[in-house]
Amino acid sequence: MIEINKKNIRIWSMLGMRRMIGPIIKEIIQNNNNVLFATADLGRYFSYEELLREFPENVVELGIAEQNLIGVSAGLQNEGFNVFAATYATFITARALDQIRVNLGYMGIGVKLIGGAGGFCDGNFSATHMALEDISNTRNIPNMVVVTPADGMELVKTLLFMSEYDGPAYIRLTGRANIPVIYKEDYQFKIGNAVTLKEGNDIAIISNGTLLGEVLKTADKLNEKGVECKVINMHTVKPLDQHVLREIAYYKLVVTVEEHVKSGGLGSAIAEFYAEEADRPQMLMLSVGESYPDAAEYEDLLVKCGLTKNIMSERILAKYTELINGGK
Amino acid sequence: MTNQEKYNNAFLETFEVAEDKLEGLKYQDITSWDSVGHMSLIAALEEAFDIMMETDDIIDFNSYEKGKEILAKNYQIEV
Repeated sequence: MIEINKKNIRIWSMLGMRRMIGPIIKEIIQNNNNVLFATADLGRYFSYEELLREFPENVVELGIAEQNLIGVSAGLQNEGFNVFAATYATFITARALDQIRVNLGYMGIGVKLIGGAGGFCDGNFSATHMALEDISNTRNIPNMVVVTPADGMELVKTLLFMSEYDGPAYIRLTGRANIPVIYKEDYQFKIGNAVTLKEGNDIAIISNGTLLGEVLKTADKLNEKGVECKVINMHTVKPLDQHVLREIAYYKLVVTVEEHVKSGGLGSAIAEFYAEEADRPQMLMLSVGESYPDAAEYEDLLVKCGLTKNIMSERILAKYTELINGGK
Repeated sequence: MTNQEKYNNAFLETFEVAEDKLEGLKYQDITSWDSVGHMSLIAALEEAFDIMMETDDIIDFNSYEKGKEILAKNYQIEV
């Protein structure tokens, strides 16, 4: 039984998302032996040692063969198990995309994909290990649910939900160790229900993943300049929370922030939604851009792409000022 | 409870080892003191002493004795 308390929230924050996977799935398996953990030679990356020791029959190691990971996971899922298939986000959503498309999308087999190192967090290994298109790749597949948890607590809630959910899904892990704590013990999570983290009437900022920590600081900086920001965690990119999007359609400016390329991610998904709505706000889409940066440390990559509170607040303020002064 | 008792309890509850094994115990000496166990120990100590440890101290904390040094030097907690 997973205990949700202050101490565990602190542990999850220190561990970071990928090191939580093994321990949390072990806890899930203790109550539901139908759950399996499959990986492509990244068991240790996901801290699966204790899981492997206590439940060796629930661990499937496929070696460095991501397409086979999906094929075998789909086969096991078809046999009645509920499989979490985990490896690097960029490998699972690009190298194995056809297997995902056919087995999970077309055949609807409910494997739960876990993508470690979403965004830049292993960017010191260069662009081959940066997952900058993974949301785009997965949300375009029919039947997929796509979730980007913001912190350890939200990841736990996501995994618990997925352990009982029949359909296919992609869970994007972001950040390294010492990720921000967004939620406390009383957090109520529901797939598809965005969460307002901060209220404000001038600008709405939508984001997800661990980048939300920086987004909240961005909102605070804007607040110091007299601009009040509503901050929304759109943890589920597919399906989007259309109700919340309609509620904020009257805002002068809606900003999306993502550790992903501009094309096809969270911002694009929201723009697609508004394209068919009569009431739609002006949008500003902040992202990593449209190119692959050179290998660098995580923090340096975020700075390079402008995903820091200082740069984001300047860009948002400039756009907002332009709009309220009558610019288009 | 004395600081020594709080400190020892954090180890005993996190790693489920006997108290006579604590002297000289180092990170990865036992299977339960792996990276995940280490974070559990840190969280237990933070709760016991009502502190928030810095990342560098968490990384440097690699033995029972070293932990006492760190608490004394950086958090003014004598164990």
